[in-house]
Amino acid sequence: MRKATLFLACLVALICGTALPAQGHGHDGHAHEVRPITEMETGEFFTNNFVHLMPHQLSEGEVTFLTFYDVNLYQLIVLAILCLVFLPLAVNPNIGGWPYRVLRGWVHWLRDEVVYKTMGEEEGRRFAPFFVFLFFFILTMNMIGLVPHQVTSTATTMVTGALAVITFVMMVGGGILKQGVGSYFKHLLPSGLPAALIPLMALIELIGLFVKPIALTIRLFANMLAGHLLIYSFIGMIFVFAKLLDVSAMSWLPAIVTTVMAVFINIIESFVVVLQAYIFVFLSVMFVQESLHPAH
Amino acid sequence: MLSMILASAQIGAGLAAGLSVIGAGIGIGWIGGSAGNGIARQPEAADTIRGAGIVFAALIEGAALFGIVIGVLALFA
Repeated sequence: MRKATLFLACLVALICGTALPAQGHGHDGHAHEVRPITEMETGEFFTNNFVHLMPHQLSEGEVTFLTFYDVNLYQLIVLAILCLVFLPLAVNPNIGGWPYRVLRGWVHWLRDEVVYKTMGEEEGRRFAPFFVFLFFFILTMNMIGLVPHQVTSTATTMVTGALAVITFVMMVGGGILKQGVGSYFKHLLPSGLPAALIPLMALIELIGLFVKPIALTIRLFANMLAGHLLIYSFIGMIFVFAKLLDVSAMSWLPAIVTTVMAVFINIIESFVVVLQAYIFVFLSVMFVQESLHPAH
Repeated sequence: MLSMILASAQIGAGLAAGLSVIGAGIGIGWIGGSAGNGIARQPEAADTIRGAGIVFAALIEGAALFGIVIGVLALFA
């Protein structure tokens, strides 16, 4: 029992500790000038907030291929958290304590209900570690974004796009390795097609092949971004109402209502966070399975 | 002239967001109705139906968000 409490305390301390780098640098390099809200345009209440959703670089200088963004930092932090949390479980799979029991059950559920159920146990055994990692990686990145002052790595198309590209490479590469190049591209087309339709269908199927990773990218990115935009919009609305009411004592009332709404959206978000990680992994498993074993 | 273009971009963005959300609303409503029907007919399958319904709803939500992202692109890009 004491070990479990210590474990949770360490986790909370780690996540809170990551707030320090986020606060240390001013967002976008330049500090917001402080002005009374009666002098600000209504749009500024929102754009000043939305700016925080853009990834900004931590290193100085020009943008190159290796520029280090805060998004990258948070991916590394997530990796560190995952290592810390799962290392005892990896060393001794039968370790006690309720956090480890929860995690073990979760991993088993992912393996049995998501990967094995679709791919079959024999083949799923090779893919299960990657998909389990993918799930917890995305989940932790999403969850960190819910903590105030933290950065959501998955709210940028670059990170989700990179994850989708990994799935795409697994789809195409796995399909080619399993069936051979000719057979793989032949099986993209439905069998028994009239010869006249083949060029048209080939084009459609080729587009469909590339749409899959793009859909994965946009779905995760847009879901994460939309939740944050909503929360920021509700927070911005506090100032809109305050400006409308000339910063009188009455502006407490709409502020309380919008804050409650923001908290409500945050609660919904915490459900969406788990759901989207699951959807991403579930669809990845489906796509990989589809290209390994084409329907005839 | 420029303000006209900006205004039409904003109208377009609003239409993209609104229409895609209407479509998603119809879709999710349909899923909810069918899931309710299914659970009423076969209460023992409630867990399976609920799980599948949430997954389908999330997929449709993704399609709606495509529209919203296109709208945001039209507004800012």
